[in-house]
Formats: sequence, structure tokens, C-alpha cells
Amino acid sequence: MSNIKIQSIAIIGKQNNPLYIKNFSKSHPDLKFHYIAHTSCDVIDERAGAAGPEPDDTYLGLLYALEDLAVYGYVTNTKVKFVVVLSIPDAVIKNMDMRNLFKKIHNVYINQVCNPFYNLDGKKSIVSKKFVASIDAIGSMSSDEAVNP
Amino acid sequence: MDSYPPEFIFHHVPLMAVIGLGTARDLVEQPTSTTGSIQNPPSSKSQSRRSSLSAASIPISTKQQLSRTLLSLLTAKSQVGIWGPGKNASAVFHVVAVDKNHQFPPRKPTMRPPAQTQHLNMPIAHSAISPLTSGSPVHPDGLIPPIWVRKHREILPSVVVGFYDLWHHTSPDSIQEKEEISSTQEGTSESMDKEKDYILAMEINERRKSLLERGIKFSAVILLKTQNIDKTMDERMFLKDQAMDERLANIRKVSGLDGRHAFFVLPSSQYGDFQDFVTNLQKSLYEYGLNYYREHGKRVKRKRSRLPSPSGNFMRPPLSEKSSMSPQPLGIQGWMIRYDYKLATFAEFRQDMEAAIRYYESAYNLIIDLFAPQSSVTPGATGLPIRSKRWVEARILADTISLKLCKLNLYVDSPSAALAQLNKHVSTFKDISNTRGIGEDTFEYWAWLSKQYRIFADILEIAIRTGFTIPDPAKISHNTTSSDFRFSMSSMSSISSMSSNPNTGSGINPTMVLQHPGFYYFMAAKYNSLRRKHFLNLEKYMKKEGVDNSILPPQDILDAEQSIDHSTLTIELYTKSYEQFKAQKTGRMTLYLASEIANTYLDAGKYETALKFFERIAKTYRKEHWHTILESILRWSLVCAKDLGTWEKVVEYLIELLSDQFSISNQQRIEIHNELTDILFKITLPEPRQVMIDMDEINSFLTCRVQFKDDTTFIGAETLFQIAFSTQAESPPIPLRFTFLRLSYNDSYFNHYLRDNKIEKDNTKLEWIDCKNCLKEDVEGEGLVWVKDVDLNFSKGITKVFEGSIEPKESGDLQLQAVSLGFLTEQWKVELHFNLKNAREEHSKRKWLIGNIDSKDEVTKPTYTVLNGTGERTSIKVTQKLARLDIQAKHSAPALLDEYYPIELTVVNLEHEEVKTFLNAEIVTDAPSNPVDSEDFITLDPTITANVTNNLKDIDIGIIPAGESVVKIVYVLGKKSNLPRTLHLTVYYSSTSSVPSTPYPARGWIEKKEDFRIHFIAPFSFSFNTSQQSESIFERKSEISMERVEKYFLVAKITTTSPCEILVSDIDLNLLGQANAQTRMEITASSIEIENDFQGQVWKQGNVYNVNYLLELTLMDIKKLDIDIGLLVIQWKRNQQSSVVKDTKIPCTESTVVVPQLIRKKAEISAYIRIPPNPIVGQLFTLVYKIINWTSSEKKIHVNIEVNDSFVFSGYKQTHFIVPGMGEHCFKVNCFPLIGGKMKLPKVNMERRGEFEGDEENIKIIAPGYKEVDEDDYFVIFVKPKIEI
Repeated sequence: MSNIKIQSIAIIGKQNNPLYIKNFSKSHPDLKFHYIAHTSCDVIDERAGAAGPEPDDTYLGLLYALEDLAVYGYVTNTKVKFVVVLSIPDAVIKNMDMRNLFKKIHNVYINQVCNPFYNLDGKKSIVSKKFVASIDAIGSMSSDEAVNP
Repeated sequence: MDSYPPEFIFHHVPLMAVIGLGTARDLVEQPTSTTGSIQNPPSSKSQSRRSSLSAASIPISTKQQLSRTLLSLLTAKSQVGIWGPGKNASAVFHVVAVDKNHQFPPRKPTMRPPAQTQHLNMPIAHSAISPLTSGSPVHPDGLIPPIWVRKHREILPSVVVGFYDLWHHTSPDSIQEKEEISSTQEGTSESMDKEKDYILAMEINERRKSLLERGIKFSAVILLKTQNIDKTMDERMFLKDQAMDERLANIRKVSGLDGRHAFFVLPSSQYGDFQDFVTNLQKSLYEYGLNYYREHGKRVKRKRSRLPSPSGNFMRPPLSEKSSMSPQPLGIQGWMIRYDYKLATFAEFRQDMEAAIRYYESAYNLIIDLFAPQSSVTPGATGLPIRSKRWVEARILADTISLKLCKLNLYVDSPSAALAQLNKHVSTFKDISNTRGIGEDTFEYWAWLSKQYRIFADILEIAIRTGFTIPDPAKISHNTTSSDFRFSMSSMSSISSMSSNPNTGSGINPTMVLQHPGFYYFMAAKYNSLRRKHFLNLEKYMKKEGVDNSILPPQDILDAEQSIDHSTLTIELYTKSYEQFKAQKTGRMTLYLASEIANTYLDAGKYETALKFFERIAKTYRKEHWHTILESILRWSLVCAKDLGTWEKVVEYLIELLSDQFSISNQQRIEIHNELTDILFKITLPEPRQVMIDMDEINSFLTCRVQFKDDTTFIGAETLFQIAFSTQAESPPIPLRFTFLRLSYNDSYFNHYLRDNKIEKDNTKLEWIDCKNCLKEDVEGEGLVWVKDVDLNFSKGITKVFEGSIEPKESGDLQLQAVSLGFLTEQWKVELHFNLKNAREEHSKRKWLIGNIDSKDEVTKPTYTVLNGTGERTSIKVTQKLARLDIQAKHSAPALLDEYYPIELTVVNLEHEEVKTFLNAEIVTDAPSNPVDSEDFITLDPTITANVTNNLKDIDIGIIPAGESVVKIVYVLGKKSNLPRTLHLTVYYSSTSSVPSTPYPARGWIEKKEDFRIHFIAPFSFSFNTSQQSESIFERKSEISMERVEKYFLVAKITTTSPCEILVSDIDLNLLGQANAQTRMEITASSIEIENDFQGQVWKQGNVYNVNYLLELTLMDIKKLDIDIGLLVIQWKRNQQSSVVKDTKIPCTESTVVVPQLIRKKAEISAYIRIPPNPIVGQLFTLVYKIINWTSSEKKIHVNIEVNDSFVFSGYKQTHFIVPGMGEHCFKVNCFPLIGGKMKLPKVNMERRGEFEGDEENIKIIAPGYKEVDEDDYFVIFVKPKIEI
């Protein structure tokens, strides 16, 4: 995990609507990550589509790299997309690490979905405090690690 | 890429020089129609193949054409380019054509005494472009000039091919001479051949030798002419060939050329096959070409190995004061770079990509060291002085080497390495630039960076076009086992850590993933925009006072930069990227790029274009709820629109920005709000503006829901609807007061226009507003609308529900199509338009707000109730109200034809109020056709028979109180046809309290329809019998008259078929007027006149009544046969009045029947019998038969009398007599009645006999007062018995 510096975590609904986008970066504006998350949808659709109707893997790996940012993608079985943006470390980022990271995000999302009052088909952003705190924890944890390896 | 010397960029392939085919200029300058396609050398392979084919297929007659064809084929594939044919491509030379007398540049003199290059400072024997030669562009300390590469690319060939014609004695002469020479002077020509061949061989040999010195392979091609082989002279062919072979072998021997790879013959028979020849030629010489460069490489390698180590042998002190000013000779490091570069170039020439990469890398690593302030390779040496000539040259060299490395790595299918080289190059120079003060703060750096990415993208694009494929990132894994060997060096640390990890799951280094060129174009564009930013900053800085000019870049660079249109360049790059992404079908990425392009336009001040872009991309972001992005786009659009003065758009953007979907602070929202109100109410515009904003298309701070309370309604019923507006929790930040609220229906009659009442009052969270009882007013610009003043002030987080009512006036669907909230100022008419026509997504239960009105007539605490169904109801089905009225009919069926048939209608009012009722009735025959002829009618009063029709309209039935009923009798009279009739009844009514002003059918009337079926039967059936009576059996009319009088007896038999009793008041025979005045008919007697007590006879069903008439017919024309008689008219009515009618006396009606026409017999002979009255048994009586002959000729009559038991008769049983023309004969039969009672008279058969057999005719006997008899029947009389007892 040492070389993973999370810049942003985005959760995108199945209709490509943003559910939650968090910016952990100090150098980039929020807008940038919104754009990145949005552009990732295409790549995710393409990757997930290429894998056939029942993809064996929900982890889609590196979607693309742009400037100093690497964009990773993950799609749940319900077509909810997770996008993690990392700053490029010039080192190998192990897929296992990324998988674990996405698993964590997935768990947080599952907890959110388990809330009976949460509207699965809603297009509103997720505002649950617990959810936000958990995502923040994932983001800041890895970036802290990056700062103090 | 164009800014670099092309020599440094182009791909190198071995050079072949061609002698004897003219020069390339000839090829271009002397095009003929046959070789036109060669004029513009095609670039792609397929094109070149086509052009060569076309060239080859053309018959070649002249030497010039032949040369041109060969040359064009040779040079077709040797198009110089950035991307070479690839290592697997077939052997291809870069071909240059040189003149026959062309002298290749001589060898460097140093090479002749090979052992003289020990010392570098030897003043002699250096190439003209060596740094050691003064006057060379690189003297004294330059690295390598482009000219050196060009020398090897274009001037010094690796292989030279000479094309020569084999001399032939005929070739310069005319055809006639040829004949002569070939036949007679063979010996002479042979010796001449030999001589010429020798000269040719010597020439070739000379060339070969001179080139051999330089190590250049020489090949000769002998072109045989068509004349050399004469096809007509078959017998000599063989000999000729042999002689030719001999000659060719001789030439080869003398010229000292090796037969296989150096001496070629192109016979004329192969002229059609140049392509193969050219390919084979190049293929067989290719190896020699490679060898040539290999030798060069070896030579350079030797020289490099003789160089001393730069660390140990640094000759001069690094910083001698003087020498820093005057140029120093090239250092050892510089020579190393030179040699490495040369080695790499030669390796590339021989297509040894791996070696080339290795040498280029070595050169690259050495060259970047030159830029550092302190060299690490050559200790103590300083780097190149910044911005000096050598610095610029070296940077170009470094850039192009890097470029070559990227390209060659793509060549060898090592994409990661290519990308790594780019990254290395960029990061190295970033460091160098930063340390030397020309780093990230300067536009120069960004210009350079943008260029690097652009070039990389260009190369990648070219590579992809040539068949290179970008690796799928999902399938890449970077680890120690990666085949990409260079990778392991650049990320050593991570790999070492990974190898220690037992879970060596594959990973990926994002920097090493080559992506498609779009990404790199994007970077280039991005950096170019930074370049612009920095340049603009610099310009700003330069305008300030007291600028330190020393830190500014040189003036010429500034001037050059000044002239660059940065924005256009950036947009071009973005557009290139856009196209790449578009090709990849990543639509959202293209949107991002479009937004970048738009921003660039915005920066460049091209607001209109920018706005167009923004508008186009905003849609997707809006649709997919990417509000943060949308907000930024809207803000940029706002800037554009303001600048352009399109205030309508400004208002639209501001209204959308008010939505709290955008996570902006309250303060910002207030600013937006204030901006909006300023624009609407404060600023002055040249002309009034009008804008309609479709709120369904944007993020709206207002939501609008519409409900009709019920699903259906009736015409004229009060129909309630509610329109609920909700504002968002955070918006509008300050209460917003609209001027009007317009409701638009599909029927504009119902359109509402609610105005603000301008009463300041705090909004409650949920408010119920009464909009019923509007007034119809003519509002300017709106037409006639329902108007009311209500509160239209909206603050955040509230819901206002407007309840109104309408009264539909006709059936159908009534739809509330649109709701608009608007501002109306002197400047503006702004409408926030909610379109309700399209179905909107809404799944919640339908709600209805009930406003409770308290004692003070104030609405307090409105509460919701739930209605049936979900979603919205924007339309309502309007139907006619169901009539609550019952119609009953009472009548005694069946109806008889021709009678006033009474039907008692009972209309029962089931409404809860009294109603005013009207009736329409119509009687229609169920006839399949001809209903028009119907004479049926329907009436209320049977005594009035004028103007009756088959329908009744708008009969006022009167006012029926609730629950009560009214009886109305209608009379139906059916005529002629006994088909069933249908009585259509329509009762329409309205409440007495609201009788509509307009007559039925109109709004407000409720109608009820009912149909009844009535069966009709005829009351009577008639049968008629007419029989002729003898006129004046004993006397004829005394006066002389042409008239003939006949008497007829008419019996009308009337049978009552009516099931009910019928009271017959009169029977009458109305004679018809005759067509001819001379024909008259009179009733001489009638049975009814006789019995005067006819009045009031009652006939029952099955009763038969006979009416007899004695008719006298007077006529002139005895030939007239058909005589109209007249109509029998029966006056009658039902005896037993139906239960329906009690009081009213129904008058009698007439049934009329036409008496059939009288058919007169066209008889020549008439026979009458006179039967005496009252015969008594035992009393003799005489039957007189009178036979009249109407003709002028006599007739013979046979008579035959049949005996019967009742009478005894006297006379002949059988006799005959003659009746004269126009005469008559009496024939008597005396009868003695034997028995009393009804007896048949003895039958007399009369027969007229003609002259010959067969001409016979029975004569009918007519008895006055008796019916005509049938065949077997005869007259029956009543014989009284004897009264003697």
C-alpha cells in the first residue's frame, strides 16, 4: 500500500450519476475529479462490457492515466461503479492492493445499501454521515500512509 | 515535429543510387500522359503499387519511357518518412537517381592512410563537416550537424546500380539500314559489337573500381532493346540469343562483376514485369547495402574505442577565464556522443533496431549530461552555456534522439520503453530547466513540454496507422518477468520489494502504460495552455516599471512567441485529442475535451464559440446529474453570455444556478440571486426581452405538481385541481416574488392568469391558496383569461398549493398543458415554464391538500389527504352527465296499420331536483330501404292531421318535480307497410335552477334516449271479384248510339285480420276518374245503400263482409280492355279503446285499398243466360240463352247440354246453329225442377266451331246477377219447394 496515494474516491450510480465524490487531493480542484469520474464511466462500461454479460472480476484495474493521475475502476454486480484516482508513483501498483482498497469501499457501500431508508434508485448523492466518514477514513488512511510510510 | 531537422527524425533505410535512368527531376519534369500517375509520388503502398502497375502495363517503346518507368518503380517505395517500413518489411532501399557522370564525394583523406587518426588535433584529413574542420557548421565544439545525416541519407549510397544499354548497330540508324546490315554485313557488325561492348565494360569497370574504394557495392543492369530480338526471324532467334549471351558474358568478365549479385540483364521480354525485376534487384542487393553500413559502424566503433575515458583524460582546465569566452574544441564526451550517434545511425540504416536503441540511449545519456551545470561524466567540465548556439543545437539533438528512441521502441514493439523514454526525457529536462532557471515558470518550458507530448502523440498515431496496436491495459502486468527488459531498470525499487513479497500478484505501473495518442495530445494541449498563461504573465510583468531585463528571455524568442496564436494551437491539440477519443468511442472523455476546448475559446475571447460548446456539453452533465461539472459549465457560460450581451441566456443560467443541486455556499447563492434580480429589475436594456425557460430541461429550484381531484368529471360540474409549487430547502435564498402564474389548458377558455397580490406576508411551510371564483378578464398579451390576485411570493423550503376549479363545457379530455411562473417588468417577460404535456416521472401517492377555513375566513393548517392512484393528473376526462331519468312506454300491441296508435309515455324524474323536460320523438320504419317514402307520422293530437311528420321536436313536457313522473301520449300512424317501426325517444332536461340559455343540443342539457319497437299488422285483408252482367238481355238500347254499355258486378270481400274488434263506420267505393272522357263508370247499385243500418258494425277477427256493387260501364272504344275502377275506403277505428286512452276520443281512420282493374274480355261472341227468379219444384221454366255475334261474319255454334238429376229439360241434348254477323240468336232450354233447394242448372257447353278442325272456342256464358262460372262449375239457383202440402 505504500505507493498508493489516493487523490479521490468516486461512487457512481448505475445510471452514471454521481453518488459520492470525495477529493483527498490538495493540489487539484474538485471539478477535476468530477470530470475524471465522469469520463471513467465510458472506460468502465467498455471494460465491463468486454468481459461479457457476467464478468468474472469486478475489479477492472487501471482505466487510464492522465497527467500525474492514475484512474482505477471497479464495478459491482449491480453496476455501481467505484473510481479511485491515485497520484502516479512511478512504481508498480499491485493489483492486490487495489483490490483490497476497492473491497473496503465496496463494504462501505454495502453498509449504506443495507439501510432500508436508502433509495437504491435515487439519483441523489449519498449523504449518510457514516458512509462519508468511512470513505474519508479509507482515503485519508492511505494518504497518511503515503505521507509517513 | 516540423521544427526539428527532418534528417534527425526520418527513418533511415539503405541508400541506393541509380545511374543511367536520368534523375528524379526528369521523372517529375517530363511527365507524359502515359506516366502521369507518377507525377505526384504516392505515399501509401497501395497507391504506389497501383501506379507502378499502370506504368508497367503501358507498352514501352522509347528508352526515355523505359527509364522513367524503371525509376518510378524504384523510387515508389522509397518515400522518406518518419515511420519506416518496419523490421519485417521486405528489403527496401531509399533510391536516388544520379546523373551518369555523377561523381560521388571522395573519401575522407584520413581514411587513405589508415593509421593516422591517433591524434584528434591533426589538422589534416577531416571531413568537411567534422568539428575539426574549420568552416564546418560544428567547428569547433558542435556535436553533430543534420548535414552529416543527410550525407548518408541522400548523398553517399550503400549500393550503386548502373543501367546501361547494350550497343546495337541498328540502334542509332534507320530501319532500312538495319535490314542491310543484318543481312550483309554481319561480320562488320560483330566486330563493332565487340568494340562497343568493350567500351561499355571498361566504363562499368571504372565505376566499379572507384566505388569499391569507398566500399560501395556496384551493380550493372544491361537493358536489352526490342530490336535485339527480332521475332519475325525465328530461325535466327537461337543464334542471336547465343551471340547475345556471349556478348553479355564478355562484358561481365571485362568489367569484373560478379554474375549473381552485380550483373543483371533486363531483356525486353520482361518489360511487362518490371515490378518483379525491381523487387528482385533490391532484394539481391539489400544485403550489400546492410554490409556497407555495418562496415561504417565497425569503423566508427573502432574510433570510439580509441577515445580516452572522459573522466581521466580531460585535457583542458574547465574554467580558464579566456576559454570560457572563446569556443573550446569539442571535448571527449562530445566525441563520444558523436560516435554513439553515428553508430546508432548506421545501426538504424542496417535496420538493426536493438543496436540502434542501445547506441541512441548511450548518446542520449551522454548528451543530457551536457546540460547539467556540472557534468557527471566528465568531472570538472561545465555544462553548455544556457541559450548558446551549441545549447540550442544540443537540445534539438537530445529531443530528436529521444524521439528516435520512442519511435524505435515502438518499432520493436516495446511500448512501455517508448513511454518510459518520453517520461525520462520530460523529467530530465524538467530538472535541468528548473536548475538552470528556465523551468516551470517560463513559457519556454511549457512550449517545449507541449511539443514533446505532441510529437509523441504524432508518432504514436503514425505507428497505429501503420499497424501498431496499443496494448490493452487490463492485460498488462509489470513485474520482474516482464518481457520489457528496460522496465526493470526504471522501477527497480518496486520490483525488488515485490520479489520479496511472496504474493507476487501482478501489478501495473501507471506511468508505463502506453495509452492511445488522444491522451498525449491532451497533455500537449494542456501544457500549451500553461505556456500561454506563463507568457501572458511575463508580458504583464514586462509592462511593469523597473523590470529586471536580465531574467527575461532573449528578445528574438519573445518576438517569436508573440506571433504565436496559442489558443488556436491549444484548440488544435484538443481537437486532435478529441478525434482520438471519439474514435475510441469514449463519449464522456470527448465531452471533457469539449469543455476544455470551450474554456480555451473563452480564454481567447471567442465567447460565441465557447458558448456553443458549453451548451452542447451541458446537456449530458445535466442529464446524468453531474452537478459540480454543470455548475462550472454554467458559470463559464454565464461569463460568455454576459460578454455577448445575450441576457436571456444569462437569466436562464442564473435561474438554473439557483438550484440547490449545486453544492455552493449560501453566500454564493445569494450573490446569484442578487445578480438575477439586478438583471431583471435594475439594469436597463436597449429593448424589452422575453425569455421562456423550460424548467423540466434544467435543474430547477422549483418543482411543480398538478392534480385534478377526480379522474373524470361531467360537463358543467365543478372540477377541482391543485397546482403545488415546492421550493428547494436552500433555494431561493431570498424570497422571490413572481408577477404571475399562468395555467394553460388545451382549451384556452380555461386558461388562468393569477397575479401577485403584492401583499407582504411571511410564507408558511405549507400554504393552501384559493384560486377558485376567478373572474374572466381580458389581460393584455394573454387574451381572455380567468384572473385572480394571489400570493406569488416564494421563499425557500416551502410549498404553495393553488386550488382552482373549472367547469368543463364539452366532453373529451381536458388537459392542463403548461404552468408558468413569471416575472413581468418593463424590461423583461421571464417565464419559468413547466410543461405538463409529457409524462413526468412520479410514483408517489396522489395527495390533495385540504385548506381548512376557520371562523375568521382564514385558511389554517391545511392537511393532506390521499387520493387514489399515483403520479400526477394533468388531464381529466369530461363526459356527459348520466341522465337520471326514466322513460316508460305503454301501448297495446300490435299496432294496426292506418290507425292512430296511442303510446303512453311516462317520464320519471329520478334526479333530486325538479327538472324542465323536453321530448324529441321519431318513428322510423325498419325497412331495409326507402325510408323516405314512409307516410308514417307521429302526432300528439289525432284530431289534427295537418303538417304531420314522422318526428316530433322539442315538445315541452314541462317541469317534473323530483321523484315524480309525467305522462304524455303520442299517436303513431303507420301506413302501407306492415314492417315493424322503431320509436326513437329523446328526453332532454336540465335542472330548473340552471336552465341553459342556449337551446338543445348545447352545454348544460342532459339527455336520455330510449327506443321502442312497434309491430304493425294490417287490420283487413281484401279480395275482389268482378263479373260481367248481360246488358239488356231482351232489349238493346233503343237510340242509335255508338256507345256500348256493359254491366259489371263487383264483389269486395273484406276479412278482418285485426286481433281486436273493429268498429267500422263506413265503407265506400270511390270511383276513379277514367282516362278517357268517353269512358264512364257509374255505380248503379250497392249493397250498402240497400241496407241502411250499416252504422257501427263491429267486426271481429275472421269476420268476412262482402260489399257488392253493380257497375255500369259506358264506353266508346270496345278495344279498351283495362278499366280502372276505384278505391275501396273503410272508415274504422278500434272498437275497444286501448287501456292507454281513456278520455280522448280517437277519430276513425280510413283504410284504403285499390280495387283491381276491370279486365274486359275481348270476345267475338257473347252468350248470356237469363235465369228466371223463384223457380218452384214442379213448375216449368225456360232458360233463355242469348248469343250475340259481335263480328260481321256468321259463326257456327255447337251446343251440348249435360243432364243432371235436379232438372228435367226438354229439347235437343246436342244441337248447333248459326249466328249471323252482327246478329244474335236465342236458344231456349225448358227446365222442370225436380227437387227443391240449391240446385245446379243443367250445364250448357257452347262451342264455336270454325271451318277446320282445331279452330274451336268455348263460349263463356254470363248470367246477370251471377258470378262468372268456372270450368266445372255452373250456375246454381235456389228452387223453392212446392207449397201444395
